[in-house]
Amino acid sequence: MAPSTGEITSLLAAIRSGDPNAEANLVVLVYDEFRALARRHMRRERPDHTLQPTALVHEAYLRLMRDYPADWQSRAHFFAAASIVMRRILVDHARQRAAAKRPGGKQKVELDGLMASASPRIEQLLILDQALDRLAGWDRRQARLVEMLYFGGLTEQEAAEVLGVSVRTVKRDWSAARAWLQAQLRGEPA
Amino acid sequence: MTPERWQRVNEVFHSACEQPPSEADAFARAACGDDREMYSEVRRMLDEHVREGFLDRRPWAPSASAPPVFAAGQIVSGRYRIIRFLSRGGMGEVYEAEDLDLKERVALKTLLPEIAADGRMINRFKQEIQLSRKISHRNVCRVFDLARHPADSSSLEIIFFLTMEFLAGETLADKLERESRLSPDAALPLLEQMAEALDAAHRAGVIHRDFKPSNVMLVPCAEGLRAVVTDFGLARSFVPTGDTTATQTGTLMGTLDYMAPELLSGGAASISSDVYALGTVAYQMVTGSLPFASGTPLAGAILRSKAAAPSPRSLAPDLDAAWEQAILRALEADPTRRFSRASDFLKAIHGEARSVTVALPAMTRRRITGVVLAAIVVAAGGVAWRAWTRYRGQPPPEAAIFYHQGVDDIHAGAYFAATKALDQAVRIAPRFSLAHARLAEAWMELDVPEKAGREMLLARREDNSALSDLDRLQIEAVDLTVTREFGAAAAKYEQMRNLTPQEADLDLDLGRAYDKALQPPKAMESYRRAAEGPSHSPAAWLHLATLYSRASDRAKAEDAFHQADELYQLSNNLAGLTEVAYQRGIDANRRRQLGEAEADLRKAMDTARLAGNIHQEIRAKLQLATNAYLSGDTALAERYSREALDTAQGNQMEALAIIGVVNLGNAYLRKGDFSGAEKYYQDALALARRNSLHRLAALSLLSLAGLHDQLKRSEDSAREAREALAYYQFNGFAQESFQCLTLIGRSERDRGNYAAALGSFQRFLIMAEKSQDHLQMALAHESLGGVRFAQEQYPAAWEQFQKNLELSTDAEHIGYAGLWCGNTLRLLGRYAEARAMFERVDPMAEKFLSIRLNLMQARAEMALSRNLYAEAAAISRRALASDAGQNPLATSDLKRILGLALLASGNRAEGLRDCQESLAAVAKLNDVAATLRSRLALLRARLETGARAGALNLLHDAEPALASHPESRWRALAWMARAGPQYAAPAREALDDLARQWGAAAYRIYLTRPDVQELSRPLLQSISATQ
Repeated sequence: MAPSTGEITSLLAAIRSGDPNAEANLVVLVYDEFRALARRHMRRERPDHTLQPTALVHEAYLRLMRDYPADWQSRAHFFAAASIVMRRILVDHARQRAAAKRPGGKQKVELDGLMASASPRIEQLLILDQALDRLAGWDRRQARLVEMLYFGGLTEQEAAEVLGVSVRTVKRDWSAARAWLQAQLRGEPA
Repeated sequence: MTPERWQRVNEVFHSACEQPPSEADAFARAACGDDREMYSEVRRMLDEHVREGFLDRRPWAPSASAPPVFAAGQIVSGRYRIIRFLSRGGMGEVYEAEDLDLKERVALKTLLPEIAADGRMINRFKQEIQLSRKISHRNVCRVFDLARHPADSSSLEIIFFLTMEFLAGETLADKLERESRLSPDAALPLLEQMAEALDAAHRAGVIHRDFKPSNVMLVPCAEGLRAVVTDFGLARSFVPTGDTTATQTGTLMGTLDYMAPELLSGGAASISSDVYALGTVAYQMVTGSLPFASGTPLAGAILRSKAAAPSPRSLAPDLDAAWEQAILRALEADPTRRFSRASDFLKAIHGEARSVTVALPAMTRRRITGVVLAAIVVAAGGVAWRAWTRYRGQPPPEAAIFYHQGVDDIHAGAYFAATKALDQAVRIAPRFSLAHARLAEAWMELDVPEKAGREMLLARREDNSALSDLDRLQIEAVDLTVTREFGAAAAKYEQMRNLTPQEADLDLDLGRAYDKALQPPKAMESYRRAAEGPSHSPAAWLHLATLYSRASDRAKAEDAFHQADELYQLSNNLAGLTEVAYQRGIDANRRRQLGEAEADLRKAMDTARLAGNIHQEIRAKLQLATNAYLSGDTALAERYSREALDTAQGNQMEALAIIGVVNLGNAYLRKGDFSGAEKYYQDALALARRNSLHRLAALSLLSLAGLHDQLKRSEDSAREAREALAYYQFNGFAQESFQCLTLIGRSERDRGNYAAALGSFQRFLIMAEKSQDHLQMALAHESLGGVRFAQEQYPAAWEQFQKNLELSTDAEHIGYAGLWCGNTLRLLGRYAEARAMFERVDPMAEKFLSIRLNLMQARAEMALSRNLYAEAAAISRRALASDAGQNPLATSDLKRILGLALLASGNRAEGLRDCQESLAAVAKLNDVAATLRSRLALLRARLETGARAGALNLLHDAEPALASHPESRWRALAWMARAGPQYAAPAREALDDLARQWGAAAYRIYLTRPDVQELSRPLLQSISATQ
């Protein structure tokens, strides 16, 4: 059962006031959300992605606690922040992997033939990350929405709540942002 | 794009989407009007709107499910026949296969191509092997090797896989899934085996980190079920980068359900956390559910840090009380209250609980545990298993972990860190004689003989009769190392190797002993075994790298450094990483790649600072100071030295403070402030003597000798160098001994004591050859050639210089070596070869001023000997006009050449003056050969200007030197013969003497020199006329 907004908000306040137990309690409360979020993307439960969902969730939580210790006003913010963290984890991960693949990259790949196994997903994730930054330059809300729906795995309903807009607006924003970003991923027009 | 424009794009896009598909494009075109750019934007969005793309797949969804990479029957890597696909795991796929070479079944575990692309992951796999190989136990899955297979010849893709023991059975997780719970009687034998497996790992210093039912294979066997624990150390190796979050991520990679609460709050994995996992597994086995069944693992994890575990009897009321208490104790939230060993848990189940607990006061234990946990993280993979199994006295695990860490530090060259770890070990276990011996070794390396002696005494004092043969041999070997009997120590280690081959730690000790005993080939062999064997020891790679670097094998050195770096990174071993960067800096320095060296040393300094390792930080800083002198930045050198000195003094590190003082002296020396330099060196010497730091006293003496060499205070220099050598040679410091011998030889040579100089350099060469140090060998040949050259034994000099050239690798050394060769060749009359040699040196002259000047001088000398006076004069004038004026020796030589050239071309007055100036310039230098050259030039000038009395005086002055300079001797006499016929016969005799000394072949060519022909013709003719 999902915890109520009130519980989390008061816990967030407690964390801000320095109550050490509040943090642990918060994790208990939001874990289900995180877990569900991870599960949504790992429906087939194939554990062959190097970034395991449990690890993802924990890393997300740790980073949240570290990076946004006092900025949360509500559960909504918590989820928005979670999505940002998810994005960052994935992009960092992709960057490291991309760096490992580049010749002369920080981690030298010495074994010949490894270049051939470069996954396009990694490159694309990095392009998406940059395109998303640009989108944020002229439409902050749409960029946040992409973070929440794509990286954070929130439902449209949840995103609407977080952003304080209607589900219809979420749908419209998503379709435009998605189309534009995908066009950027497709490459420049001829 | 502006927000307004984007707004407009959105509007058009949405409106177009609402149109019937066939009309959308026309609508958009119309809506955008003249704004073609906007149309193009919307057009592309509309295209994307109707097709599936990247954003429709969630970022962490697995990539499209691929069929297994290997097919049944396929021969993989030319050795393994795939029998069948078994499963997919976190890293890749698992197969059953047949090893065609060994005719046995193995399990193949592939590495997903995506993971394999990460060079780090390959190393991670290597480390998994390393970890697993340390534990040889029936209940631990044996890992054999990492292999690769060209998966598809049409692509370059390579599949990496691990081969490991094939275990036919199911996992404990499968069994629990099926049977839900086991009776205590059924669970007990399995738990006993798991505890034994964990205990074996812990004794080897390996923490499992991710112990859970799916990592336990149950293999049916005669006695029932054999439980085999797999995937040791896997969780930790999942470290994605070397950044600061890495450890955090790493520790959190385990499965939450079995994770000890302290790990959630960022604590490090430990024996206690593995015990917790074992307790949880036991709980689950006998009750059928997890102790904190809260629906979600993290919620459970949080709960267990706050609340005590509910009794298993609440779920399994029949459970024995001993079981209940044992499980609850294993599940204590406070790690210090759990069992300290996995086997103690089992003993408790059997009802022997109370007696086995370690009765340390709670506070002490907590503190120790804290340190131990930190130590485990640093100790990384390199902990040995051997000492444990042999150590009958069985020190407590905490002491053993510190011991292993200390030994690792010794192997990595981090001696200061080693003393700290070993100090902890003997504090916990005061009668741990091996730890005392190792501590002695570390102190010895740090040149604190008093402490080394005391610790060795403690090690010997213990009754070691109960120890195994191996342990006793180990103590004896360390004892011999401490007393610097390295050859004998190596023999002891070889004895141990006969008893237990294939041990990385032993090979490291052996390598160090051989290295110190000046047997580099054997040292390399030992290190290579440790590096390339299953343990992939980073310390061994590091030692190999420095040995390759010394042998100037650049490619192999670089590769070895790289391996060491990667392996240390995997284990987040900051001390090791610092050492790699530091040694890389030294290597670059040796190659005179100063920029590269600086970058490496800075990295070493930063890493040391990050790790809070003051000793390593200061050491890197001191080396940076040295680097700064070499690149000529004395201000920076001084700054680094001062900083290092301050830090060292502030931390009571006398030894490093003294090195700082010496470095300051070096800075002053570079600045040309000789008295400042002398003062610092003397201070350092006094400080070192006061603190009984013999090695540093020797260093101060060596520095003083170098200073006095520059000042041509040859006697002081030789005395100081001899005193320093007495220490260095006795204690096996090769590099420093070379320097001493060079200084001694140089001072002897300058004073004309050629026999003594040759002796000194000959010893130098023997030592350098023994240690296979190419740079030092080159220098020894250069020095020997230099003496031969000064003695005017050019054919002998030529041999030495040739070897010097062959052994030189960097531009500067090649430049000087080529110069020596060219000069010798020109003196022997081999002009074409000399010219070719000078042309080879030309490119180096652009970079090195001193080479440029020397080259000009050499060409001027050559022109002079070929009677090309105008050319000789022109070149020497040009050289004199440049920077040569700074160097009195070069000025003297150039003036001499110019003077002789002017004299020969008829400008007698000026020629005479230049020759006088040449002698004046060299008079202040204590250099016999150079003085002789100038004297003879002036003698000739005086003869040519009719000052015969003055010439005779000069001949008298030169007489003693002429006895040991055969070429100058016959020339001087030949010149005199031009003025007085009584000199003709002695001149001829001297010429014959030269022929005898040089050999007929060299002599014949020498006689073809135009200047020699001119001077020798009358002698040879007059003699033949009289015959």
